[in-house]
Amino acid sequence: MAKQVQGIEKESPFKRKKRRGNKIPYLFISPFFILFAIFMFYPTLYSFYLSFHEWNGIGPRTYVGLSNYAKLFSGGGLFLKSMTNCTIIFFEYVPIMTLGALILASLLNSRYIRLQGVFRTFIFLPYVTAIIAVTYSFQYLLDTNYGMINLFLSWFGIERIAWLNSPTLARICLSSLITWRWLGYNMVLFLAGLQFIPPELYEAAKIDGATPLQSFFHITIPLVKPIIFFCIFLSTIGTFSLFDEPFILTSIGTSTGGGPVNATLSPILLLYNMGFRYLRFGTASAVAYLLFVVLFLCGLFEIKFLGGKR
Amino acid sequence: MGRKIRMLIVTLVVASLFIMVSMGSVFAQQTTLTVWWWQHWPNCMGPAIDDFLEQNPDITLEQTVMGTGDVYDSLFLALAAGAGTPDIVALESSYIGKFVEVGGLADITDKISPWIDKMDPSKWADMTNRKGKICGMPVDSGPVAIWYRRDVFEQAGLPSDPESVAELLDTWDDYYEVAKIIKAKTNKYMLPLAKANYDFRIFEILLWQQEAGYVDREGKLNINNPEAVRILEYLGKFWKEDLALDAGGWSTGWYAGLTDGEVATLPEATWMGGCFANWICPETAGLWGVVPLPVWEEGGVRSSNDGGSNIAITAASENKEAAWKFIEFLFTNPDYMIDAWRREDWFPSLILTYDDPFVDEVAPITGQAHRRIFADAAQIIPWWVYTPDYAEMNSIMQIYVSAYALGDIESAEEALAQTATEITVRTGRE
Amino acid sequence: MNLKEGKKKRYFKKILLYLFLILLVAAMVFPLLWMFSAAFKFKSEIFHFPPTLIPKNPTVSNFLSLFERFPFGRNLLNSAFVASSAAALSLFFCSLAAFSFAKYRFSGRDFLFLFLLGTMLIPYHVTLIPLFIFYRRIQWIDKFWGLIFPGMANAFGIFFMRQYMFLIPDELLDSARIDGCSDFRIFLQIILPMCRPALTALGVIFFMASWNNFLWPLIILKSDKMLTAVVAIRRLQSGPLWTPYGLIFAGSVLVVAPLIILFLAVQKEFIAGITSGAIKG
Repeated sequence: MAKQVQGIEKESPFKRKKRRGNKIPYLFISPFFILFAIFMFYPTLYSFYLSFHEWNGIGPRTYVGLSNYAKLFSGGGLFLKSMTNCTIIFFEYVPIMTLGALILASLLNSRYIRLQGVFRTFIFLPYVTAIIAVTYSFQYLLDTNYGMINLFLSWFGIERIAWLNSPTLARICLSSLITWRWLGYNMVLFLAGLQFIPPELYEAAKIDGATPLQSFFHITIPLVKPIIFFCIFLSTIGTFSLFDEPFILTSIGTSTGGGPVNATLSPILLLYNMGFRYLRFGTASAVAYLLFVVLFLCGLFEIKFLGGKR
Repeated sequence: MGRKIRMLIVTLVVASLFIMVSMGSVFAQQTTLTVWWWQHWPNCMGPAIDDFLEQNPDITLEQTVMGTGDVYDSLFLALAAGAGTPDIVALESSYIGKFVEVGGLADITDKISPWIDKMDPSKWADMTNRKGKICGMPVDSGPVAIWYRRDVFEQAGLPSDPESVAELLDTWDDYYEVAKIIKAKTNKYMLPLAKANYDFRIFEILLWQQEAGYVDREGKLNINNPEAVRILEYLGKFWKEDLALDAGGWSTGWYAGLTDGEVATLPEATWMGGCFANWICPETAGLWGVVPLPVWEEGGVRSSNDGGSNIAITAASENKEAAWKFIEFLFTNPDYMIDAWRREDWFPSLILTYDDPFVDEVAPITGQAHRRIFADAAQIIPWWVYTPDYAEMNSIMQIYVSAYALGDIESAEEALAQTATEITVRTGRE
Repeated sequence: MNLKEGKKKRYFKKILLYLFLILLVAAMVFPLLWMFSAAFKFKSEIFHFPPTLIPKNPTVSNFLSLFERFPFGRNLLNSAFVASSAAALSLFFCSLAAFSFAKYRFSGRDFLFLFLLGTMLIPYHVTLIPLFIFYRRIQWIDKFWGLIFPGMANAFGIFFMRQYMFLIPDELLDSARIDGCSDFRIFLQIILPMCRPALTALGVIFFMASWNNFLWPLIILKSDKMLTAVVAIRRLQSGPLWTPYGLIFAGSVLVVAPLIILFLAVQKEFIAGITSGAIKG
């Protein structure tokens, strides 16, 4: 692909002719940069400024130095708590989901299985639903008194479990919801990658006496490594910017999402609560900035890592 | 042909009537009052509103009915934008402090002074700004007593009539002993009290009964006082000994517990009766009973508060006189307030109403004149205040009390000390 | 004999494998079925143990009250309007910029493109608070523009379209130019029609993202009539009442159905679209 691109560039008379002093290409890309400046760049700067102030959106703004940041780290350390939660959730679901997606993709890629298309569509289906809708569905499935999960367990003589009232269990429920929704998506990414592996490789391995398991480890995994990294990259960003799922799943009765005991509090949920429930715009901006720095560094690291691999 | 002419005449007459009416209103200097509140208010005050509009033809009313959270959201936005605030707005006691603090509500101290000693006195603290001016009018109160299930008490072999139960639940220690009996005899819980995913309103009720809430009268943070520690340790016994149903307030498990009689009692405000009768468990009518709150020591106050709401005029309103006329007409008239009480179990802050014979009527949900108990309790509610920081303080308290309930924090003292530290860090309250 | 046993074993393995896949599919579909079935239940059946998968007394009352007691029809239209205009406008601006990046040479191009890719690393959550404050000032609270505009500066979309436009031979553009077409006409009449598969894929991705968007509309939309459908569903659960699962799931069915139909209609392009990031990126 890359070669082809360069080829076009060199030969194109269209480009040569349009080379100097033409304003049109700038005109065409300007909407992006104007919109970026208004809706991303300016707010990002303003957010930085706000993070050093205390403001409830109505009264006067007061400069408070680093106290908003201090607030997030001292005492209960809400920001650290939210990052820890997301890290735990990350390790709860990413390994299982990524490996599971890869195995499924290999299964559905082989000619061993029929009706691949049907299976693929159904496993992918959760991805094309609305998060809000399925989160409510999970909340109801997990309901202590009226949920299907507890009915199912009762067939095995297991007593009712209050799934969303225990910090550990609530996080596991959240992880399951995320896995359920994203498994098919990751599988599809792997399927696309697997199509680039020539079937001859597997055939040759088979002739050499390799078991399917061996060829999975020695052919499939090394060849889809970049996609594995890509999936993990997406999952990292996804996990640390969770909002909809914990916001809905754990809002039960009068308690707002993020519970129990802040076990499902995510950085964005923290930002939302600080900004729009307690009207502390400065503190909320500090959360946004901390998250920005963490995600940006993560991104750079992963890009460097990925870039090196290619 | 004739029909067409008739149509034409009718149209002309209607049109001229319409013009006359609209011109007339211009001449009469029509005032339009805008009001934001939630469904409960028009339901309760419907007839009063009709009377008011009839007696004041120069005033028209524009109501916007929304959810409670949306009222606050919209009010905040309007205040921030400096435009679009209504003339009158309804606010719960737990939220009014925030809007008083930012100066969004009008000072009505002068207008309200004749009514100050005629209202539930515990309501004023949250409506008074730093300069001591009053910015709201109390409407309904939440005096607390014990709701109990007669059938569960009977199953446990205990007496179930209110007089005997009141004796049985004389002190909180007695309450705990009864909890053990009920658990042993029926395997049911004494009360619903979740360990997590719960706002711990029952804890707050007990705090306020002892005047030991989040802050003291000077506004100083006071949540880690010895009284609060004692109360939390007391609740801790219910958690440790499995005497409480682990279901957060207003969750499905909580409703189920109340409906099926999985719990024997619920220390909660008067408005709970309306919730039982209207939508949680109408089928339990007659199974409930009400007794006054137990006390910690002999001579203690058998009362506390939970919730309640108020009405206020916004600072930006240009119709403050008309707005006050409206508020005074509706909420200081005992007849209207009793009517609302009868229909929607809305407990008035207006003390006058407590002498009405209606209060001594037997209510179907309890089979007793339970409103009398609440009316008596309403007059002795100890001092309490939500403060402008309530939402945040409550959310912090939840975390540490939950941690204590779940055993992650060993001692109640430690849990409350950490609550206090965190509140100081987050809100700056010393 | 041995051969037969081996065959049997393989057969057995295959059955196990299918069983596993079928169970997995069941697990994937179950929450959706559960939602669908609860949408047709009365409250008394929703809060009843043991729960039932097939409603005993199916009812459409939930759907009816969604439309009678709430402006849910309007909310669905809002979602459709916001999602389609967001998708259409984003497609237009993304392909315009992509055209420029793919087919022109101008100074600073590579730097600008790298910069553009770099913007993908900024999480949009940083802008929530300042944009909210900004919107308040310019009175964009409770307006649809506030939802549509920020999404139009989409680096991923530009990147995606640029990749596709590389495949269009330059000779085509050159001959158009000789015929006297302006740059913009070349874009509209040659480039866009040739990018149809890519536009379809990206359009569906944008549409779904906007349709599903929850946090931002939750913050800036306020009045019942202006809400998008997903926020309206959340609004159904307000105040201390039994969580109105019947209404919530009736709404959910109406929100999810268009997405699934859309997906099934353009499945191939859509999957090609979402995977392009992994393979080419």
